Amino acid sequence: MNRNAAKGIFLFLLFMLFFTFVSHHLDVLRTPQVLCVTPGAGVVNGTSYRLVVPSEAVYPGAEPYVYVVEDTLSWFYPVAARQSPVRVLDSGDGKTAVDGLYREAQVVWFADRALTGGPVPVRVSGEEAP
Amino acid sequence: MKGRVVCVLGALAFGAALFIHTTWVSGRPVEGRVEVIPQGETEAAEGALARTAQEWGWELTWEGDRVIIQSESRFAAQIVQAALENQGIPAQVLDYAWAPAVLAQSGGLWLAWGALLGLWPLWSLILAQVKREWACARAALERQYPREYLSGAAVRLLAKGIGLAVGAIATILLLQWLWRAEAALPPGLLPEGSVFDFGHYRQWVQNAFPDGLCSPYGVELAGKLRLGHALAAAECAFLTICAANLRKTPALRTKSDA
Repeated sequence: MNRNAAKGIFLFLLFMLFFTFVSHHLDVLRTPQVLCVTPGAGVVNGTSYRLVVPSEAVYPGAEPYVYVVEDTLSWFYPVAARQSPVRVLDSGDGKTAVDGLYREAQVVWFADRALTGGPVPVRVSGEEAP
Repeated sequence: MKGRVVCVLGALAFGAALFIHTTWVSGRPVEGRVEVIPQGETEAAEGALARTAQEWGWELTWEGDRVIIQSESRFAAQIVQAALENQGIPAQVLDYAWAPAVLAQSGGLWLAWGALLGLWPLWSLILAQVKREWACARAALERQYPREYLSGAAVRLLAKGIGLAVGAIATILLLQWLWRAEAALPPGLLPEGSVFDFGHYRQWVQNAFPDGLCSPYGVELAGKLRLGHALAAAECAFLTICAANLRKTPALRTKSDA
Protein backbone atom coordinates (compact mmCIF):
# COMPACT_ATOMS: atom_id res chain seq x y z
CA MET A 1 0.00 0.00 0.00
CA ASN A 2 2.82 2.42 0.98
CA ARG A 3 4.71 1.50 -2.18
CA ASN A 4 1.64 2.18 -4.31
CA ALA A 5 1.04 5.50 -2.56
CA ALA A 6 4.68 6.52 -3.15
CA LYS A 7 4.41 5.58 -6.82
CA GLY A 8 1.16 7.54 -7.12
CA ILE A 9 2.71 10.63 -5.52
CA PHE A 10 5.77 10.30 -7.76
CA LEU A 11 3.66 10.04 -10.91
CA PHE A 12 1.53 12.98 -9.78
CA LEU A 13 4.64 15.13 -9.28
CA LEU A 14 5.97 14.02 -12.66
CA PHE A 15 2.74 15.03 -14.38
CA MET A 16 2.78 18.35 -12.52
CA LEU A 17 6.33 18.96 -13.78
CA PHE A 18 5.28 18.12 -17.33
CA PHE A 19 2.25 20.41 -17.20
CA THR A 20 4.39 23.19 -15.69
CA PHE A 21 6.61 22.97 -18.76
CA VAL A 22 3.64 22.99 -21.12
CA SER A 23 1.99 25.86 -19.28
CA HIS A 24 5.23 27.88 -19.27
CA HIS A 25 5.67 27.45 -23.02
CA LEU A 26 2.02 28.28 -23.71
CA ASP A 27 2.40 31.42 -21.62
CA VAL A 28 5.50 32.43 -23.58
CA LEU A 29 3.77 31.76 -26.90
CA ARG A 30 0.76 33.81 -25.86
CA THR A 31 2.86 36.75 -24.74
CA PRO A 32 2.60 39.27 -27.60
CA GLN A 33 5.76 39.87 -29.56
CA VAL A 34 6.14 43.51 -30.54
CA LEU A 35 8.09 45.53 -33.06
CA CYS A 36 9.15 48.85 -31.57
CA VAL A 37 10.05 52.20 -33.03
CA THR A 38 11.64 55.25 -31.45
CA PRO A 39 9.86 58.54 -32.15
CA GLY A 40 11.95 60.96 -34.12
CA ALA A 41 11.75 64.31 -35.85
CA GLY A 42 9.89 64.29 -39.15
CA VAL A 43 7.71 66.11 -41.61
CA VAL A 44 3.97 65.54 -41.75
CA ASN A 45 1.90 67.37 -44.38
CA GLY A 46 4.80 69.75 -45.06
CA THR A 47 5.30 70.78 -41.44
CA SER A 48 8.27 69.72 -39.30
CA TYR A 49 7.57 68.12 -35.93
CA ARG A 50 9.81 67.03 -33.08
CA LEU A 51 8.12 63.66 -32.45
CA VAL A 52 6.71 61.62 -35.30
CA VAL A 53 5.59 57.98 -35.06
CA PRO A 54 4.02 55.63 -37.63
CA SER A 55 0.23 56.03 -37.74
CA GLU A 56 -0.27 52.33 -36.88
CA ALA A 57 1.37 52.96 -33.48
CA VAL A 58 -1.33 55.44 -32.42
CA TYR A 59 -4.60 54.09 -31.04
CA PRO A 60 -7.14 56.75 -32.03
CA GLY A 61 -10.16 57.80 -30.03
CA ALA A 62 -11.29 60.56 -27.70
CA GLU A 63 -8.04 60.11 -25.76
CA PRO A 64 -5.44 58.77 -28.20
CA TYR A 65 -2.59 56.72 -26.81
CA VAL A 66 0.41 54.63 -27.81
CA TYR A 67 1.89 51.59 -26.11
CA VAL A 68 5.33 52.24 -24.64
CA VAL A 69 7.59 49.31 -23.76
CA GLU A 70 9.34 49.47 -20.42
CA ASP A 71 11.36 47.16 -18.18
CA THR A 72 9.60 45.82 -15.10
CA LEU A 73 10.80 44.34 -11.83
CA SER A 74 8.97 41.07 -12.49
CA TRP A 75 11.12 37.96 -12.95
CA PHE A 76 8.57 36.24 -15.14
CA TYR A 77 7.61 39.26 -17.25
CA PRO A 78 10.68 41.49 -17.48
CA VAL A 79 9.20 43.71 -20.20
CA ALA A 80 5.71 45.21 -20.38
CA ALA A 81 3.89 47.66 -22.61
CA ARG A 82 1.79 50.37 -20.97
CA GLN A 83 -0.62 52.85 -22.48
CA SER A 84 0.82 56.34 -22.74
CA PRO A 85 -1.65 59.12 -23.66
CA VAL A 86 -0.50 61.41 -26.46
CA ARG A 87 -1.80 64.50 -28.20
CA VAL A 88 -2.08 64.10 -31.95
CA LEU A 89 -0.74 67.23 -33.68
CA ASP A 90 -0.99 66.16 -37.30
CA SER A 91 -1.40 63.03 -39.37
CA GLY A 92 -0.78 62.02 -42.97
CA ASP A 93 1.07 59.66 -45.32
CA GLY A 94 1.31 56.94 -42.72
CA LYS A 95 2.89 59.21 -40.10
CA THR A 96 1.49 60.94 -37.04
CA ALA A 97 3.06 63.87 -35.20
CA VAL A 98 2.47 63.53 -31.46
CA ASP A 99 3.17 65.32 -28.22
CA GLY A 100 3.52 63.76 -24.77
CA LEU A 101 6.26 61.20 -25.39
CA TYR A 102 9.89 61.25 -24.41
CA ARG A 103 12.43 60.93 -27.20
CA GLU A 104 13.91 57.56 -26.19
CA ALA A 105 10.52 55.89 -25.71
CA GLN A 106 10.15 52.46 -27.29
CA VAL A 107 6.77 52.78 -28.97
CA VAL A 108 5.00 49.61 -30.09
CA TRP A 109 4.47 49.74 -33.86
CA PHE A 110 3.16 46.24 -34.53
CA ALA A 111 2.20 43.38 -32.20
CA ASP A 112 1.50 39.80 -33.26
CA ARG A 113 -1.40 39.65 -30.77
CA ALA A 114 -3.83 42.41 -29.90
CA LEU A 115 -2.75 44.61 -26.98
CA THR A 116 -5.59 45.59 -24.68
CA GLY A 117 -5.81 47.26 -21.31
CA GLY A 118 -3.14 48.30 -18.84
CA PRO A 119 0.44 47.06 -18.64
CA VAL A 120 0.66 44.05 -20.94
CA PRO A 121 3.63 41.66 -20.71
CA VAL A 122 5.36 41.63 -24.09
CA ARG A 123 8.44 40.28 -25.81
CA VAL A 124 10.39 42.74 -27.90
CA SER A 125 11.28 41.43 -31.34
CA GLY A 126 14.92 41.47 -32.37
CA GLU A 127 13.96 42.90 -35.76
CA GLU A 128 14.82 46.52 -36.41
CA ALA A 129 12.46 48.99 -37.99
CA PRO A 130 13.95 51.00 -40.90
CA MET B 1 13.61 -10.91 -24.97
CA LYS B 2 10.30 -9.69 -26.40
CA GLY B 3 10.95 -6.24 -24.94
CA ARG B 4 14.35 -6.05 -26.65
CA VAL B 5 12.89 -7.04 -30.01
CA VAL B 6 10.17 -4.38 -29.70
CA CYS B 7 12.82 -1.86 -28.65
CA VAL B 8 15.00 -2.63 -31.69
CA LEU B 9 11.97 -2.53 -34.03
CA GLY B 10 10.92 0.79 -32.50
CA ALA B 11 14.43 2.18 -33.01
CA LEU B 12 14.44 1.03 -36.65
CA ALA B 13 11.02 2.57 -37.30
CA PHE B 14 12.18 5.78 -35.61
CA GLY B 15 15.29 5.86 -37.81
CA ALA B 16 13.20 5.35 -40.95
CA ALA B 17 10.75 8.13 -39.98
CA LEU B 18 13.64 10.48 -39.16
CA PHE B 19 15.32 9.69 -42.49
CA ILE B 20 12.13 10.45 -44.43
CA HIS B 21 11.62 13.61 -42.40
CA THR B 22 15.16 14.84 -42.97
CA THR B 23 15.28 14.10 -46.69
CA TRP B 24 11.71 14.83 -47.87
CA VAL B 25 10.55 17.61 -45.58
CA SER B 26 13.51 19.41 -44.02
CA GLY B 27 15.81 18.56 -46.95
CA ARG B 28 13.81 20.81 -49.30
CA PRO B 29 13.32 24.03 -47.36
CA VAL B 30 10.60 26.51 -48.25
CA GLU B 31 11.11 30.25 -48.19
CA GLY B 32 9.02 32.57 -46.03
CA ARG B 33 6.75 34.86 -48.01
CA VAL B 34 3.74 37.11 -47.92
CA GLU B 35 1.26 36.89 -50.78
CA VAL B 36 -0.84 39.91 -51.71
CA ILE B 37 -3.90 39.51 -53.95
CA PRO B 38 -4.90 43.03 -55.05
CA GLN B 39 -8.67 43.48 -55.38
CA GLY B 40 -8.60 46.46 -57.66
CA GLU B 41 -5.85 48.49 -59.30
CA THR B 42 -2.83 46.23 -59.42
CA GLU B 43 -0.46 49.05 -60.42
CA ALA B 44 -1.36 51.12 -57.38
CA ALA B 45 -0.84 48.08 -55.16
CA GLU B 46 2.50 47.34 -56.78
CA GLY B 47 3.62 50.95 -56.30
CA ALA B 48 2.69 50.96 -52.60
CA LEU B 49 4.30 47.58 -52.02
CA ALA B 50 7.47 48.46 -53.95
CA ARG B 51 8.10 51.42 -51.64
CA THR B 52 7.53 49.29 -48.52
CA ALA B 53 9.68 46.46 -49.87
CA GLN B 54 12.51 48.91 -50.59
CA GLU B 55 12.28 50.40 -47.08
CA TRP B 56 12.51 46.96 -45.47
CA GLY B 57 14.92 45.41 -47.96
CA TRP B 58 12.49 42.78 -49.25
CA GLU B 59 12.26 41.26 -52.71
CA LEU B 60 9.06 41.81 -54.69
CA THR B 61 7.91 39.53 -57.51
CA TRP B 62 4.69 38.75 -59.38
CA GLU B 63 3.26 35.24 -59.51
CA GLY B 64 0.09 35.10 -61.58
CA ASP B 65 -2.49 37.41 -60.01
CA ARG B 66 -0.56 38.05 -56.82
CA VAL B 67 2.44 39.98 -55.53
CA ILE B 68 4.98 37.90 -53.62
CA ILE B 69 7.16 39.44 -50.92
CA GLN B 70 10.03 37.24 -49.79
CA SER B 71 10.40 37.72 -46.05
CA GLU B 72 10.61 35.73 -42.87
CA SER B 73 9.71 38.68 -40.66
CA ARG B 74 6.98 37.99 -38.14
CA PHE B 75 5.50 41.40 -38.88
CA ALA B 76 5.81 41.38 -42.68
CA ALA B 77 2.10 40.74 -43.28
CA GLN B 78 1.06 43.52 -40.88
CA ILE B 79 3.54 45.95 -42.46
CA VAL B 80 2.24 45.11 -45.95
CA GLN B 81 -1.38 45.40 -44.80
CA ALA B 82 -0.67 48.79 -43.22
CA ALA B 83 1.07 50.06 -46.37
CA LEU B 84 -1.92 49.06 -48.49
CA GLU B 85 -4.45 50.52 -46.05
CA ASN B 86 -2.54 53.81 -45.93
CA GLN B 87 -2.96 54.07 -49.70
CA GLY B 88 -6.59 52.90 -49.51
CA ILE B 89 -5.91 49.83 -51.66
CA PRO B 90 -8.12 46.80 -50.94
CA ALA B 91 -6.21 43.51 -51.04
CA GLN B 92 -6.11 40.10 -49.41
CA VAL B 93 -2.86 39.31 -47.61
CA LEU B 94 -1.76 35.72 -46.99
CA ASP B 95 1.02 35.38 -44.46
CA TYR B 96 3.48 32.48 -44.82
CA ALA B 97 6.51 34.25 -43.33
CA TRP B 98 6.42 31.79 -40.43
CA ALA B 99 6.67 28.70 -42.68
CA PRO B 100 10.46 28.01 -42.59
CA ALA B 101 10.68 28.27 -38.79
CA VAL B 102 7.64 26.04 -38.18
CA LEU B 103 8.73 23.43 -40.73
CA ALA B 104 12.28 23.35 -39.38
CA GLN B 105 10.87 22.96 -35.87
CA SER B 106 8.83 19.89 -36.84
CA GLY B 107 12.12 18.19 -37.72
CA GLY B 108 13.46 18.78 -34.20
CA LEU B 109 10.39 17.96 -32.09
CA TRP B 110 11.67 14.44 -31.45
CA LEU B 111 14.71 15.95 -29.72
CA ALA B 112 12.61 17.65 -27.04
CA TRP B 113 10.39 14.59 -26.58
CA GLY B 114 13.42 12.27 -26.59
CA ALA B 115 15.12 14.45 -23.99
CA LEU B 116 12.09 14.13 -21.70
CA LEU B 117 11.85 10.37 -22.32
CA GLY B 118 15.60 9.96 -21.79
CA LEU B 119 15.07 10.94 -18.16
CA TRP B 120 12.87 7.89 -17.69
CA PRO B 121 15.49 5.13 -18.34
CA LEU B 122 18.21 7.30 -16.81
CA TRP B 123 16.44 7.70 -13.47
CA SER B 124 15.16 4.12 -13.60
CA LEU B 125 18.79 3.01 -13.85
CA ILE B 126 19.85 5.30 -11.02
CA LEU B 127 16.97 4.13 -8.80
CA ALA B 128 17.70 0.46 -9.56
CA GLN B 129 21.38 0.91 -8.69
CA VAL B 130 20.60 2.79 -5.46
CA LYS B 131 18.20 0.03 -4.38
CA ARG B 132 20.73 -2.67 -5.28
CA GLU B 133 23.55 -0.99 -3.33
CA TRP B 134 21.27 -0.39 -0.36
CA ALA B 135 20.30 -4.09 -0.28
CA CYS B 136 23.97 -5.14 -0.68
CA ALA B 137 25.08 -2.84 2.14
CA ARG B 138 22.35 -4.05 4.49
CA ALA B 139 23.20 -7.69 3.82
CA ALA B 140 26.95 -7.10 4.17
CA LEU B 141 26.68 -5.07 7.37
CA GLU B 142 25.01 -8.00 9.11
CA ARG B 143 28.29 -9.93 8.99
CA GLN B 144 30.93 -7.19 8.43
CA TYR B 145 32.09 -3.97 10.08
CA PRO B 146 31.38 -0.82 8.01
CA ARG B 147 35.11 -0.15 7.48
CA GLU B 148 35.63 -3.68 6.17
CA TYR B 149 32.63 -3.35 3.82
CA LEU B 150 33.71 0.06 2.54
CA SER B 151 37.29 -1.08 1.86
CA GLY B 152 35.88 -3.68 -0.53
CA ALA B 153 33.10 -1.63 -2.11
CA ALA B 154 34.60 1.88 -2.06
CA VAL B 155 35.73 1.95 -5.70
CA ARG B 156 32.40 0.61 -6.94
CA LEU B 157 30.40 3.06 -4.79
CA LEU B 158 32.59 5.97 -5.87
CA ALA B 159 32.10 5.08 -9.55
CA LYS B 160 28.35 4.87 -9.05
CA GLY B 161 28.38 8.13 -7.09
CA ILE B 162 30.15 9.84 -9.98
CA GLY B 163 27.57 8.33 -12.36
CA LEU B 164 24.77 9.69 -10.16
CA ALA B 165 26.32 13.18 -10.13
CA VAL B 166 26.72 13.13 -13.94
CA GLY B 167 23.10 11.98 -14.30
CA ALA B 168 21.86 14.73 -12.00
CA ILE B 169 23.84 17.41 -13.86
CA ALA B 170 22.63 16.07 -17.22
CA THR B 171 19.04 16.20 -15.94
CA ILE B 172 19.41 19.79 -14.74
CA LEU B 173 20.98 20.91 -18.03
CA LEU B 174 18.31 19.12 -20.02
CA LEU B 175 15.44 20.62 -18.04
CA GLN B 176 17.05 24.05 -18.37
CA TRP B 177 17.31 23.60 -22.16
CA LEU B 178 13.68 22.48 -22.36
CA TRP B 179 12.59 25.46 -20.23
CA ARG B 180 14.44 27.98 -22.39
CA ALA B 181 13.73 26.43 -25.81
CA GLU B 182 11.43 28.70 -27.81
CA ALA B 183 8.67 27.12 -29.84
CA ALA B 184 7.75 28.63 -33.20
CA LEU B 185 4.08 28.98 -34.06
CA PRO B 186 2.35 31.00 -36.76
CA PRO B 187 0.98 34.31 -35.41
CA GLY B 188 -2.67 34.03 -34.40
CA LEU B 189 -2.72 30.24 -34.26
CA LEU B 190 -3.12 30.10 -30.48
CA PRO B 191 -6.58 31.30 -29.41
CA GLU B 192 -7.00 34.06 -26.83
CA GLY B 193 -9.15 31.85 -24.61
CA SER B 194 -9.05 28.09 -24.20
CA VAL B 195 -6.44 26.16 -26.16
CA PHE B 196 -9.15 23.53 -26.76
CA ASP B 197 -11.17 25.92 -28.92
CA PHE B 198 -11.01 23.71 -32.03
CA GLY B 199 -13.27 26.07 -33.97
CA HIS B 200 -10.54 28.71 -33.75
CA TYR B 201 -7.96 26.35 -35.29
CA ARG B 202 -10.34 25.45 -38.13
CA GLN B 203 -10.93 29.15 -38.76
CA TRP B 204 -7.19 29.82 -38.70
CA VAL B 205 -6.54 27.08 -41.27
CA GLN B 206 -9.32 28.49 -43.46
CA ASN B 207 -7.79 31.99 -43.23
CA ALA B 208 -4.23 30.81 -43.88
CA PHE B 209 -5.10 28.42 -46.70
CA PRO B 210 -8.37 29.75 -48.14
CA ASP B 211 -10.24 27.47 -50.55
CA GLY B 212 -9.79 28.55 -54.14
CA LEU B 213 -7.27 31.29 -53.27
CA CYS B 214 -4.33 29.14 -52.30
CA SER B 215 -1.29 29.39 -54.57
CA PRO B 216 0.70 26.27 -55.57
CA TYR B 217 3.19 27.32 -52.88
CA GLY B 218 0.40 27.37 -50.27
CA VAL B 219 -0.86 23.93 -51.32
CA GLU B 220 2.68 22.50 -51.14
CA LEU B 221 3.29 24.15 -47.78
CA ALA B 222 0.06 22.74 -46.33
CA GLY B 223 1.09 19.26 -47.50
CA LYS B 224 4.56 19.63 -46.04
CA LEU B 225 3.18 20.85 -42.72
CA ARG B 226 0.82 17.87 -42.51
CA LEU B 227 3.51 15.37 -43.47
CA GLY B 228 6.16 17.01 -41.26
CA HIS B 229 3.99 16.98 -38.16
CA ALA B 230 2.63 13.47 -38.84
CA LEU B 231 6.23 12.23 -39.08
CA ALA B 232 7.16 14.15 -35.92
CA ALA B 233 4.26 12.47 -34.08
CA ALA B 234 5.36 9.05 -35.42
CA GLU B 235 8.96 9.72 -34.31
CA CYS B 236 7.76 10.63 -30.80
CA ALA B 237 5.54 7.51 -30.65
CA PHE B 238 8.42 5.23 -31.70
CA LEU B 239 10.70 6.87 -29.12
CA THR B 240 8.07 6.26 -26.43
CA ILE B 241 7.84 2.57 -27.41
CA CYS B 242 11.64 2.29 -27.23
CA ALA B 243 11.82 3.99 -23.82
CA ALA B 244 8.97 1.87 -22.41
CA ASN B 245 10.67 -1.36 -23.50
CA LEU B 246 14.11 -0.18 -22.46
CA ARG B 247 12.64 0.29 -18.97
CA LYS B 248 11.89 -3.47 -18.89
CA THR B 249 15.53 -4.52 -19.43
CA PRO B 250 17.11 -6.29 -16.39
CA ALA B 251 19.66 -3.51 -15.76
CA LEU B 252 16.84 -1.03 -15.11
CA ARG B 253 14.72 -3.35 -12.98
CA THR B 254 14.96 -3.87 -9.29
CA LYS B 255 14.09 -7.11 -7.56
CA SER B 256 10.72 -5.72 -6.42
CA ASP B 257 9.78 -4.66 -9.98
CA ALA B 258 10.58 -8.12 -11.28
